[in-house]
Amino acid sequence: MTPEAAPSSPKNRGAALNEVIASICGPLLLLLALWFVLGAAPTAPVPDAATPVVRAADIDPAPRFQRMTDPASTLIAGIRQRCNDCHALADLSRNTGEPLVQHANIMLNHGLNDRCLNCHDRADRSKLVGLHGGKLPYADVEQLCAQCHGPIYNDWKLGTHGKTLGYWNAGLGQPNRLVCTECHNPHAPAYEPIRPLPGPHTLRMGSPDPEVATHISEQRNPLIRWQDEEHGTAPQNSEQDYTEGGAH
Amino acid sequence: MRLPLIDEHRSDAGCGSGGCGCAGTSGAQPVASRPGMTRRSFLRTTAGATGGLAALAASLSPLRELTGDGFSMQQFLQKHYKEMTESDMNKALDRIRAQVEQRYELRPEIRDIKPLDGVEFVYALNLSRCIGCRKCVHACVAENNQSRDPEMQYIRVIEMPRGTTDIEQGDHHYDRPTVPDESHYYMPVQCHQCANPPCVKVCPVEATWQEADGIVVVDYDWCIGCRYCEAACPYWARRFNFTTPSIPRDKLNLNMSYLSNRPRPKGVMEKCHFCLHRTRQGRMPACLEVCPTGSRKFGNVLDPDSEVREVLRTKRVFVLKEDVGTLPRFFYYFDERDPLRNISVEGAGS
Ligand code: HEC
Ligand code: HEC
Ligand code: HEC
Ligand code: HEC
Repeated sequence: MTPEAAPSSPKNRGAALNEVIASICGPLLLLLALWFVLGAAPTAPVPDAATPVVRAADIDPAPRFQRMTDPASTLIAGIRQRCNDCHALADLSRNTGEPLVQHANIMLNHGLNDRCLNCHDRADRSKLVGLHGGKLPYADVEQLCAQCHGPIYNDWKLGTHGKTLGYWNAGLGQPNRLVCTECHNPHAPAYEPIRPLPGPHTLRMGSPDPEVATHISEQRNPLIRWQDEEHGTAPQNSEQDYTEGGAH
Repeated sequence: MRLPLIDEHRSDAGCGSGGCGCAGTSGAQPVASRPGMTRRSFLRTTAGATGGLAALAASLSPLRELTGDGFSMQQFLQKHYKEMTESDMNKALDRIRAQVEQRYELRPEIRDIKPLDGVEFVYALNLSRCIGCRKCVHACVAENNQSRDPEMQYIRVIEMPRGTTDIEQGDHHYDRPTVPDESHYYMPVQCHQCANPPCVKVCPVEATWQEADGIVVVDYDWCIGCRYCEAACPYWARRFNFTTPSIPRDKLNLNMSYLSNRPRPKGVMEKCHFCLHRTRQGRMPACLEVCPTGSRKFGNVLDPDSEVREVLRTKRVFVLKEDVGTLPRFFYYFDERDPLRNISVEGAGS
């Protein structure tokens, strides 16, 4: 206790104010610091991520289709039967392109190639059509396609069409070049459109509005929205902007 | 784990004469020997000093996280990758193995796989076939132990309006019910493993460099996270770990290598490395294997019979942003259309 501390003198008023500030700020700081130290406990092992929307089946590298093995067979009324179980009995062929009674599950959508017997041998149904009336086992299916798709077949032979799984270097392991029918359904060879997997979430804003499904990406991409504001074009014109930009 | 530092200082009223620079130490003298010290000013000083110290301790408290998540003195003292001897590397691998085991309770198969002799990797991508399904993006995430939350993606598929190759016009965030869209084509972009890589040049600590097989790698133990490389890359190929990557335990890929897909810490850069833990053992990269269309080609460009050599020889090939002089090892190409498509009765060839 010091007697000379007289709060009324002007010099000491500043000091008193200091003290008031300090006595408020000190504890506040202390509390804040305590909160930081005690409150922010060391992080536990990082919690597991939320389950991603991508399922294992979406990124399975297995071929799209299983290829037919010799001797060829098919499921008829749930029972697996060889082609010649029936076709050896009689010539069941019409080859007119009209709807069939049997094999109604086969939807032929191969453009101009619209006759079954362009590919399936008439006499021996367990074989495919080869050059000059020859016959091909299903194991050589690419020779069938090659008869009509020469350039693509050549690409495939060189490895620039289709896909090789496994090893890029045969010295280190077995390369597995997929055949045509592991990617293409021979009856409807074009690829079906599919749903894309989720894109990057950078710059992605808000959830999609079903009303504007056709413009989803424009709606969500702030860069494009920003562009519209900047150039004063209405958002619905952004589609047109593309075509103008890409016209040359 | 408590830092002893905190408690020691806190029990010490005031900070003595050691100028610790904390706020509120107006009279940093031993209390007892100070004449004219009021009770109030003593309290004030003490409170201020304690507060200051505690704030200092708080500012240091992130260090405690490091001790929790795999920070070790050994890692701190580790040599640069290129200076490590085999036994140094084995020690580092042991440490990483232990860290992964501690965190995921799984034992990884981790090695340091060196480039193969006489191999220079090249990638080629067929723009006529790609349908933009983004399977490659997610196969890559799964293969390379990328963070799932937030999800990090090395590959960016860009939806491009037909008739231009100006990627500034592309859309990175397209989200259609189905792809491909008739009026667009799709251009996946990932690290081009440039032969003249700007990212390597700007790295101030040589944490990223080019290996003999052409792959540009990152040592996650050496990277300081300055993100210069990210800015230098003209292909948006580099990614930064803003938070500690989080991977569900059952999604962890245990086939790991030091320079590729081992789990990364927070604050380092990463990017595509052509799946080097697979490709240096002769296997195909994950993005190639998952591609349903076969648009992706990979191989050794020094081997005259490789698929990539065929692409370079027979296709119309280009590289992205050729004018910036990066000499990418990643090529894009187009196919000739099959002439049969033009003889359709419906007139499909438009
Ligand atoms: C259960 C007996 C049965 C089996 C097994 C069977 N088919 Fe058939 N198939 C038929 C019958 C019956 C028809 C005639 C359908 C019609 O004309 O409407 C037919 C018609 C066909 C045709 C159509 C020919 C035309 O005139 O257009 C083809 C091609 C064909 N079968 C291929 C096969 C192949 C390939 C297999 C084996 C993978 C097979 N079939 C197995 C009973 C069978
Ligand atoms: C008899 C000749 C012939 C054979 C054999 C043949 N194709 Fe075709 N293919 C065609 C014709 C003609 C078209 C053109 C279709 C059109 O555009 O009208 C075509 C089109 C295609 C297309 C493009 C479809 C599209 O719309 O994009 C694919 C893919 C294809 N064929 C794959 C195959 C495969 C795989 C095989 C072997 C299993 C095969 N083709 C065997 C004649 C044939
Ligand atoms: C482009 C050539 C081509 C044409 C045209 C064609 N097929 Fe096929 N078909 C094949 C090939 C190749 C296979 C073997 C499929 C495989 O490897 O998966 C096959 C398989 C089959 C099978 C067995 C399928 C299964 O998975 O059970 C039947 C049945 C069949 N074809 C019937 C027909 C009928 C009926 C037609 C006419 C409507 C027809 N095919 C037209 C090439 C063709
Ligand atoms: C990795 C899978 C894969 C394999 C294997 C494959 N293709 Fe394709 N093929 C594709 C894709 C993807 C397209 C383009 C999709 C589309 O347009 O529907 C395509 C397109 C085609 C076309 C249409 C041509 C064009 O210019 O669009 C033909 C014809 C064709 N393929 C024939 C073949 C033949 C013949 C083989 C075997 C020698 C084969 N494909 C093997 C994936 C494959």
